[in-house]
Amino acid sequence: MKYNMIVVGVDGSPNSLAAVRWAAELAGVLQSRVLAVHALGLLEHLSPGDEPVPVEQHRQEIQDRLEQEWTAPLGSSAVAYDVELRYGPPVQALLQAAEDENADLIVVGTRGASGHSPIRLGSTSSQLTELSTRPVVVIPMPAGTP
Amino acid sequence: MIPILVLECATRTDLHFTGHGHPERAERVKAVQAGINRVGLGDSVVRGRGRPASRPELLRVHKEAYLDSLSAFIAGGGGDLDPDTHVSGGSWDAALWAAGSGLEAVEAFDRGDAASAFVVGRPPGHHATSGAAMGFCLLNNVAVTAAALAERGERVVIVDWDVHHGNGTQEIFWDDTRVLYVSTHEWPSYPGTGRPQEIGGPNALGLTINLPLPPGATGDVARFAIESVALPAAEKFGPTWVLISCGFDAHRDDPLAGLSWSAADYADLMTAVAPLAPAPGRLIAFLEGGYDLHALSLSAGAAVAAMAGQSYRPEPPTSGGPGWEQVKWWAELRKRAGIA
Repeated sequence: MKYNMIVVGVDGSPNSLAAVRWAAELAGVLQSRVLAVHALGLLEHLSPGDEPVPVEQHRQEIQDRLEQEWTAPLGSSAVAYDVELRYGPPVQALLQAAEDENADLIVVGTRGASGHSPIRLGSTSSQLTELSTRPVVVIPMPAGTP
Repeated sequence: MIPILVLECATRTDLHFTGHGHPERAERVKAVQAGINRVGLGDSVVRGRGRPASRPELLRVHKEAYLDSLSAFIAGGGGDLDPDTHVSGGSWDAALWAAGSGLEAVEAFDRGDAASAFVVGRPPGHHATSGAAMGFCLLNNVAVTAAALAERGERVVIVDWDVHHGNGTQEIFWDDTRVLYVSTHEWPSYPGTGRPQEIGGPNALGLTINLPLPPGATGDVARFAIESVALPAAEKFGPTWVLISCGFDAHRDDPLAGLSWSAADYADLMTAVAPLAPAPGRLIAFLEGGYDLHALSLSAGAAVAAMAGQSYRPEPPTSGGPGWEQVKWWAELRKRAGIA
C-alpha cells in the first residue's frame, strides 16, 4: 500500500506537535507528502480578558505560527510538506482536507489545544475515527505532559 | 396599517447558555429588543412569543439521527459540540423555539395579522447543516421555514447578509429548485464556504448565489452586490416569499469579523430587499449573528424600522471600502453567462 499523502491536524498543543513529529517520521520512511492543517474557528481570536485581535491580524499570526512553530518537526525534516489554514470546526476541516487531497492517512493528537471536554459526541480525534472513511492514527500525549 | 410582528422567543432564548464570555449570549436578544424599542415604532409593531418547531417540521431539513443525537446530548447536560459551539441543558428547548417561530409568523400572515416579521431567536441557525451543528448554530431556523413554504408550493428567496457564509442553508437547498439562496459574506472567513463558483446542484444550477466581500468592505459595496447581482436574479426567479438571514455581524464594531458596515447600511439593505416580497405577509427576517451589543441594538432597530417603511439611521451609511471591482466582475460574468 502506498501512502502518498498524509494529512495531520495542527493546533499548537504539545499533543499536536507529537502528531506532527510522528507524521514527519512516517512520511520520511514512506516518502509521503504531508499537509499540515489548522482549522480556524469563530472564537479563537477572542482570548478571555484580552482585547479581541482584529480577525485579519489574527489570521496572519496563526499562519506565521503554523509555518514557524507548529510544524517545526516537518521543517527540520527532509519531508515534502505544505501547511494550510482552513475555516470551520476541526473535524470538518480535516475531513474535507483529506478529501480534497485524496489523503491516505489522517494523523491527529488525542487531545488538542481546547483540552478535555466531557462530550458525548467526542473530541476531534474520536469524531474523526468515527466519521472518516480513511485510516486515522491518533497519537497519545507525550509521556510527562501535564 | 398591518403591523410588523416581532417574535421574541424571549423566555426560551435564556435557556441556551453557551458559557461565560461566549459572544453568542442571551444579552443579544435584550439588545435587539432595546434597539427596536428605541425606534419608537408604536402600533407599527406587535409582539408575539413564537412557538417551538415540531419534529416533522424539523425533519424537512434535518436528519433524524442528527436530531436524536443532539437532543440526547443536550438532555444529558450538554457540553462542547465543537470548539465554538456549546450547549446547556436548556438549549434544545431554545433551539426548537428559534426554529419554530418563523412558522408562527407564516401562520400569523395567513390570518392577516401582520405584514412582515422579525424572529428574534437564538441560537442562530444558518451554519447548521442537515446533519451537524457548528458555528453556534444547532437547528437551521430559516431553512425550517423555507422548507415548510416550499412544501406548500411557494418559491422562496433567502437573502443572507450575515458576515459569515450560511453553509448550512446552502447545503440544505443546494439542489432544490424551489429555493434561491443568496449570500453576502466576508471572504476569507469562517466557515470557508461561499465561493462565487458554488452555484447550486445539477438540478438547481444558478439558484445559489455567493457574493463574498473582502475584509473592510463597506455597506455601499454590499448594496451594490445586492442590487446589481442578487436582485435581478431574484426577480427572474419570481419569489412568492422572501426570508432574510439577518445577521448584524458585518457591522464595523463586531468582534468576530472584519467588514465595515454601520446600522444605516442594514436599513438600506432591508429597504432594497423587502420589495422583493410580492405582497404584504411574505417577508420574514431571522436574527443570525451580531455580537457587539451596541452595534447589534442600533442595527436591529434600523432594520426593523426599514421593514416598517420608516427611516431610522442612528449612524451614517458607510462607503469607500474595497470590493467594488470584484462585484462588477461578477455582475459582468453573470451577464456573459446569460444568468444575470
